[in-house]
Amino acid sequence: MNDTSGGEESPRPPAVQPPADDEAPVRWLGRGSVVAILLKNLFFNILTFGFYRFWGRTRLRRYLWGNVELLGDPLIYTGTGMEMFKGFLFVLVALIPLGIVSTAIEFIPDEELRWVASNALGLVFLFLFFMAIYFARRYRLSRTDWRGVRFGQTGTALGYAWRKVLWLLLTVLSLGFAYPWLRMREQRYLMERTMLGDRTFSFDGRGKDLFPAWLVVYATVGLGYFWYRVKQFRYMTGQTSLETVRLNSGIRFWPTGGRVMILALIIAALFAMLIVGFVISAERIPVGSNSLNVALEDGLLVIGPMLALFAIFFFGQLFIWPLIHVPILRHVCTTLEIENPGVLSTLAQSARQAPATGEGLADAFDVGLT
Amino acid sequence: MTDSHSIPARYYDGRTSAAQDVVITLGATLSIAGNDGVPIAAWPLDDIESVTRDDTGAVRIARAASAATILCNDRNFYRALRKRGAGRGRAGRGGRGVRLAAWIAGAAASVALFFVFGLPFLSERIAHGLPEAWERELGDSIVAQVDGAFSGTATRVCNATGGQAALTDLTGRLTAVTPPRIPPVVTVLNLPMVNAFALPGGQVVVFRGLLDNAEHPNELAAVLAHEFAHNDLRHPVEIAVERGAGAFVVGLLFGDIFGIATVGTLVQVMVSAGYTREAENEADAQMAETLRAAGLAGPPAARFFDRLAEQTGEVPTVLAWLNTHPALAERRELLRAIQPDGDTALDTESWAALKAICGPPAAESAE
Repeated sequence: MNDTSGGEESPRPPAVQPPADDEAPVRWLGRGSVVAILLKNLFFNILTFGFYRFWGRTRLRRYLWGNVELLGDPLIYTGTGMEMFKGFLFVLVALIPLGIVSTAIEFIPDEELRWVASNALGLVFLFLFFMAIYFARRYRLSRTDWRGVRFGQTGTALGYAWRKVLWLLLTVLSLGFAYPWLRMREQRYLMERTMLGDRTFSFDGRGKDLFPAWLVVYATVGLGYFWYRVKQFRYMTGQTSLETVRLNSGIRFWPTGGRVMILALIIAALFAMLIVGFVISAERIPVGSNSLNVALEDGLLVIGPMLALFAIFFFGQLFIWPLIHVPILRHVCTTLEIENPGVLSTLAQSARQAPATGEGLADAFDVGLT
Repeated sequence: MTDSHSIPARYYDGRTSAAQDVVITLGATLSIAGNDGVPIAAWPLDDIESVTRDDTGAVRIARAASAATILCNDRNFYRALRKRGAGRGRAGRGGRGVRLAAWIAGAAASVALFFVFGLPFLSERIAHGLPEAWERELGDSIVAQVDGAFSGTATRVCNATGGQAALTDLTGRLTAVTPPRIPPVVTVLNLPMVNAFALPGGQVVVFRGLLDNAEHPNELAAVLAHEFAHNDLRHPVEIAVERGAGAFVVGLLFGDIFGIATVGTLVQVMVSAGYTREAENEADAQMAETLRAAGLAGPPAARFFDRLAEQTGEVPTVLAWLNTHPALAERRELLRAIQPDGDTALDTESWAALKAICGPPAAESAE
C-alpha cells in the first residue's frame, strides 16, 4: 500500500477522523518518478548553464514533500523557483565585495599580517556558512504547509551561527568527545525555535545518552559513524515533541545508514582515483599562463580528469536519488510513530509572516542536497 | 456518480489544522460542499490565486482572499479549471513568464558587463594602486615558488659569472632606451621548457630550454623586451587579480550544479584569453619600439618564432581563440619590419657565456 510508483491518481480515501493510533501515521505515497524529474532538471540545467537549478530544486522538493502523507494529508511545498532566484541574485551582489577582499589579501607582503587577515576572512566565511544553513532551514520550514497550516522557525541566523562556531571550537578542543552533548544542544536550540502553526516543538535530548554509542565510532576508526547516525536519529526523534504529541522513530541500519555507508565508500574510492589522475597530468603543464607558447593539448590534460569528476557528480544524482535518498525517506516515514496525533488537528495557523527569501546564501555555499 | 466537474477533495480553511472531506464542483464558481451536501463556500474563479499540479499528481487550489486551500487528485478537473482561467492570480501566467525572462536577461547582462568591463577595470585600478614594495614582494615569492615547485629543495637558479654579466649587459641595453617602471630582475631557471614569462615586481623568469633553443642574441633581446613590456604595463598584476576575483564570481554564479567549479576553470581560460590578447599586442608594440630605439635588427629575432611555429604548428584560428597568444605570424611580421640592417645585441663571447649560464649541458646549476 506504500509503494505505488507510477503516476496514476488513486482515489483519496474519505477519512474525516485521523487514522487510529496503531495505523501508520506517516506514509510515503510513492507517486511520480524521481528519475524523470532529475532527468528533466539535468536537461534544463545544461541548457541554461545551471541557472535553471532554482526551478529544478523546487520541482524536486514538491515531489518529495508531496509524497509524505501525515495523518491522511500530504505535506505541501509552497516555495517557488523565483523566490530562490531572487535570493541568489541578492547574495551575489552582497558577496562580491568579500571576493575582492579575499583576492586583495593575497597581495599583502607582510607574512604575519597576511596570515591574520586571511584567517579573519575565513572566520567570516565560517559565520556566513552557518547563517546560510539557518536561512535555508527557515525558508524550507516556512514553505512547508500541512492542512493549510505552516511550519516556521524563529530566532536569528547570527544567534545560530555564533553558537555553531562555539560548539565547533569545543568539539575540536575536546578531540571530538564533546560532540554528543553539543549536538543535542544544537538540536534543542533549533527545535525550540521550530513551530507548526501556533505551537512550538520541544526537545529533551541529553548528550550523555548518546556518549556510549559515540565511543563506538572511535573504536571502529570512523566506520561506525553511519551506525551512530542511525542511533542518534532514533534518539533525537524520540526526544522531540509538539506539546503532548510525542514522536518515535523505529528506523533500522538498513536501508538508512547501510546504504549511505556504501555510497561513501564508493565516493572515497573515486576521489582517490581522480587525485592520482590529477597528479599525473598536472606535471605536464608548462608554468606561466602568459608565456610564449601555451599548447592546447596540455590544457586538455587537466580538464580531462575534471570533466570526469563533474560527470560523476552530475550523473551520479540519477542513481543516488532512487537508490539511496528515496528508500531512506520511505523507511523513515513508515517507521515514524506518533503519540496523541489527535492534537495535530487542533492547531491554529501561525500569526507570523513567512520570510520573503532565504536560500541565496545556501546556494552560494552549496548547502544542502535538495 | 460524479461527473467530470464534481469531484471529492480535501478542504483546509487555512485558520486551523482541521481538515474536511468535501465535494467540489466547477460551475460559475468553484463551490465546496461537505459530504453530506451542506454547502461550505463558493469561490469566484477570479479569486483563485493559484492552481498547481505537481509530479505526485496532487492538485492544489489556493484562494487569494483567505488562506483556504483545496487538495484533489483529478487531472481533468485541473485542466478544466485552467481552461476557465482560474489561477491567474496577481501577475497571471503570461505575466509571470515575462517577468522571469526580464529578470534572467537583466542578470545575464549584469554578469556580462561585469566580466567585460567591471573586472578588467577593477583589476587595472588595483594594479595601479598597488605599492611597488608589495608588488616586488609578491613577485619574489612567486619566483621562489616556481623554483621550488620543480625541484624541491635544491634551487634551479643559474648564475655563472660570465653569463650573468652578459645578461646584465643585455638588460641594461634594453632598459636604457625604455626606462622601466620597476627595475627588471631576470632569473634563469635550469629547466628544459622553452618558455619565459613576466611576474609582478619586475621579475622575469627565463627557462634554460629557451636559451638553448635560441640561435641569435636578438632572439633573446626580443623575448626580454616583450616581457619587460608586460611588467611596465602592469599586466602580471592585473591578471593575478582578474583570476582571483573572476574565479570567485564564476563559482558563485554557477553554484554547485557541476560539482566542482569545472565550468569556472573553463570560463577562466576563455575569459583570460581575451584579456591577455590585448595585453600581448600592447607588449609586442612596446617590444618593437625598444628594439628599434636600441638599434637592434628585427629579422634575426623573427627566426625564433619561425622555429616555434614549425615545432608547435600554427594553431588553427578556431582554437587560437582559446590560446592566450596571438598567432605567431603577426609577431614574426612585426619583427621582420624592424631595421634589417640593425645591430646584434651581444658579441660572440658574451653570447656564448650567456648560453652557458647554467653551466655545461650535463651538469647541475652552480650556486
